[in-house]
Amino acid sequence: MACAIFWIRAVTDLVAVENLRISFPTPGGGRFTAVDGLSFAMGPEKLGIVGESGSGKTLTALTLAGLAPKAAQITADRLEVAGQDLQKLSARDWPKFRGDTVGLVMQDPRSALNPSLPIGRQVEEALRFHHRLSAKERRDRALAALESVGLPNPKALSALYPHQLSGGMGQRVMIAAMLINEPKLLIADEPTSALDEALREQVLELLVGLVESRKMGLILISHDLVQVARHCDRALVMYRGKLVDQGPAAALPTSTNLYTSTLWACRPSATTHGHLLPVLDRAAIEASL
Amino acid sequence: MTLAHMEAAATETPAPSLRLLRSIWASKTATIGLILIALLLLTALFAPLIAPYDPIAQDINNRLLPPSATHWFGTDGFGRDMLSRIIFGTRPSLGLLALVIATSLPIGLIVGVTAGFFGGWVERVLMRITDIVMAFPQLVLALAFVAMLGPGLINSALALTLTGWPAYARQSRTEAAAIRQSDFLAAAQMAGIRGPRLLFGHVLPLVLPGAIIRVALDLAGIILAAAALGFIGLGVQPPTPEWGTMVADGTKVIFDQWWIAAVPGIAILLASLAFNLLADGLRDILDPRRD
Amino acid sequence: MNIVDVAGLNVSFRRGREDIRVVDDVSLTVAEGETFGLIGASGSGKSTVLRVLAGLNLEWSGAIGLFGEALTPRRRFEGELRRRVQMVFQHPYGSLHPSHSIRGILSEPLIVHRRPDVARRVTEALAQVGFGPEIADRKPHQLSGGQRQRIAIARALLLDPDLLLLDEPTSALDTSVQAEILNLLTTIKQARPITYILVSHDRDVIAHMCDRQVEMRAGRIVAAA
Repeated sequence: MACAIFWIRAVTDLVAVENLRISFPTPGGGRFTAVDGLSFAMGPEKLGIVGESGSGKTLTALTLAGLAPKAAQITADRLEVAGQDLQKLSARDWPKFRGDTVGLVMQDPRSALNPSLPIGRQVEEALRFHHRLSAKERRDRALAALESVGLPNPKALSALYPHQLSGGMGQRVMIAAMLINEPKLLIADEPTSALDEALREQVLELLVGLVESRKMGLILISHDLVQVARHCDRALVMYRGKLVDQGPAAALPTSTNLYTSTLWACRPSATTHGHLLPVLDRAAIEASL
Repeated sequence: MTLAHMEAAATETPAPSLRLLRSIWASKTATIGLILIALLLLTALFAPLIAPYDPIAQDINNRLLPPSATHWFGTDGFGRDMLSRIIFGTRPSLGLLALVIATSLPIGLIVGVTAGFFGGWVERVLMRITDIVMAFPQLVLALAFVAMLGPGLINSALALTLTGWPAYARQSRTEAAAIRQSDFLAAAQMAGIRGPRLLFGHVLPLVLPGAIIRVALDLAGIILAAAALGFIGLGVQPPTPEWGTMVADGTKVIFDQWWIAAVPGIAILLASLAFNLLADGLRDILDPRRD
Repeated sequence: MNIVDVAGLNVSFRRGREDIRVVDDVSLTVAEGETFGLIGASGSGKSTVLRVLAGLNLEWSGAIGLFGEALTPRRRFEGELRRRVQMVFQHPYGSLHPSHSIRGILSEPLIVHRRPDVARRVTEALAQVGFGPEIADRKPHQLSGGQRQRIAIARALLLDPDLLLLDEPTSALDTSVQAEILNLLTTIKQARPITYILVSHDRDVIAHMCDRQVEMRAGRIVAAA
């Protein structure tokens, strides 16, 4: 019986995190704990991590992709992605792991793309490191990837440079480059925050569609509760480094957790016009942690 | 540091100046440089108390003596004690340094901030003047000035100032122009703050730190420039001891009495090394790639 | 009474040999006491309109009436006019001078406008935005983003302005902090006669705060909502 449970757990855990602690040295000489005892597991599903500044959500994403700042001290009882213990990966192993198993899409595509290379080359570069393919095969795959993210006329587009792309197009290129190696897990950290409102839904639906069709796992990190409630299966809510709430994403609006419910209710809208918005009772929330 | 980290730690960060001092302490190169500079300063200040002999007292009977117990660095062609001359030699070097900084920095700042802040034709005219002065190699132009004005400490300082200010002007111009676009300035203008109050109270405090760092990086060069002028005979005039002049004197007897040129040469080396170490350390501290 | 009356406002600047039109034939009116919204994406020209009304951008053409008086282009705001229009900026990290203490930041406008009782007014201004007097000794880098925005609002209110211009005042803040700042603005408006013009790319913020709004795109007004 125990074997069966162990087997089921091993199969469903795409990501397994237990008691993750991340701290930094402070200028005053002490230590500051940015992530405090985070534990969660996920399978090939869409998990949203919601939180505000200082919640530790971005740091968690970076850690799962091996990109945490050097000064960060990371400890965990368990820190695994697709069965690989991240704490055992050396600096040399990470680049391969990052392409093959974990993809990371960040907020501003322009800071992630090399401004001096045409984008077709950059998408191909993502392949070069991971597979032995002929130049023609790489080019074909790159074009296919650009097409799969809905970019019209991929051949003409491949010759363009990042600064010639709009924000929305740049983000699609990032997604194409990240997905081309077919990783098992995609981490998207505020992928639409830098885009105009009109584009956000489009890009997010593209992302979710691609992840679903390839049966990948998605961790969507966002401060936007509505976005997470709409597109994710489950959600984690973080506050000052701690996990304060979790559950089905669709249940976010009706959560009884003090922090989650206030965060949901404090959003301005036409219906709140003329009223005072509910605000966080930080003392009460801290007390309940 | 992530924005989140900064936000969360925002309630108790020590002031930027304290952080800088701590960083300097953490950088070994900067600390060693600072200690050496402090030693130089103390030597210059307390020269009369430290030096064993009068640096300009001649003693022809004891000329060109090698280093010994009575004369640690030997004596020169006029029988003057080398050690005392080296000690007193810190004064013209550091004095020149102080004079040059005290004059070229304000001139550079005024030109640069005015150009950057007002923009338009003011900026164009001032920057063209800056470019013209900067186009000349500093030492050659300084030579020309000294040749016109005559040798001596003040004239050397003047020459180095008149040729050294453009670097500060350019840097402060760029910073002032950036500040002109900033929200701090817009907010100050909304409050009706104008003119000198704006320039001195708001723009200058933001431009000054960068300028001071630049000065620190230039100090070693000024020490060398001072020694170079002295070597050519256009700096401080004899009998006042000055390292560059001493090296020049020493070259005449360098094969037999090597110490007369070598000792002041080493002094120049150590002094510029001290300032270079400080500058290196500061450069490391200010490197944005540091985590 | 219309506090703001803008007709045919044009703002352009030169880039090389081209004249780029940032604000194109914009007309709007803002009545006394209302909260007026200007929605638009970045690059729509909305912030430029605000800066013209603030007297920060003096190169414009068209007709602008402020408090019933016509404005002249290239003329700086002086005296009473300068005092009556104030602004809160977007970036909490960018509008408070890092070298000055909070006390210094709040005292200076009062000193420049020769107001008596500076210390008392500073304490009152801080209380108005929910701070005790002890915060006056701190410097901006010791405050969080939300705290800095409160100081920015306190500063804007120091001279008892009649018109407060708000340029994306909460865009750089977390949702929970944004709620606190929006509440502060609402409370202030309920306690004294003042008119707000609020610029934002966030429709929800505009819908919550504003009585009337227009939308801008590529320098022009495209919809009055």
